[in-house]
Amino acid sequence: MNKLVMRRKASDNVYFHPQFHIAMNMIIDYIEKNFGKKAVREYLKQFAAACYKPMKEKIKKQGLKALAGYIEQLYRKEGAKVKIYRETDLLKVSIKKCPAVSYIRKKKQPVSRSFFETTKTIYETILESTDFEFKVDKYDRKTGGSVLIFRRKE
Amino acid sequence: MISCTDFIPAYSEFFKFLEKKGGKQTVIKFWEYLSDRYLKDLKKLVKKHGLKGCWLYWSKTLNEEAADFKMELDEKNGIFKITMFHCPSKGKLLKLKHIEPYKDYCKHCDVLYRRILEPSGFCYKIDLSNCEKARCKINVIKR
Repeated sequence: MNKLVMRRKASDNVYFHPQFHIAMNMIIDYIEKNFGKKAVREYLKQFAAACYKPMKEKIKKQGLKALAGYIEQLYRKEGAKVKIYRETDLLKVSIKKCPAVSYIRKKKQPVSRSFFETTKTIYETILESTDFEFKVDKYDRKTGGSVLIFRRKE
Repeated sequence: MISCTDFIPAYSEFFKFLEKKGGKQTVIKFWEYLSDRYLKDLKKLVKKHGLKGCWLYWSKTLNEEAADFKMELDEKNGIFKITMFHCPSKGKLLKLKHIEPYKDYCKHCDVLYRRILEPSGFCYKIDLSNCEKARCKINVIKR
């Protein structure tokens, strides 16, 4: 029955807690079951408008270059491979497997039916009132693999 | 996909969303729901290892979240303590100047863990008096 002590500073570790994907999935599932699918989009719009406000401003100033950098970094941190093709007014992102979906499945949790909205609604909201538009070209519900297209509005 | 590193602002915004939908009680109801489903690992660990289960659980989560903390386990006297010098969760919200944290954000740690630990035979005490500085203290005492 020894005494145990652990002292850690923030700099001792890298901030990466993939279990949060499970919590996010639970949130989406909870909203859908208690308030409906429309409410899932309503919540994600509220979150994206608040959280990604600086990103929206960056896109307004720098165009899709800003978004490409963000997406590349996001998936690198999650340890996933993405293919990014960029022209001045076009950004195409191919994601073989979504790291969040992979993690949720690895933990044997069912992926919520509206989980897809964490991609669709988030990017639609980020691009709202910019010169760009977004569409999900392909989406595999099993793996979360997708092809995302961002382009200048015609 | 929302990056797991963006989860904290998503969490805080969700509490605001729920409160707008149905008031504080709706937020608390969700915390209880989350506790029952998300903290199964903690429940299993304290069931199997007693107070040391707390040590095992938070050893993983606090390191993954890169917290600035001191954790102490004194099994002989039946006390487990966390002194959080800088909570990565509240700290992140305070750092994001464009986001207003949910006003009772830190209270989720009171509801979520109490719901697991008290029925498991422990007294759970949380001091949130410095939570606006991203600091708090948790004591879990064997009854």
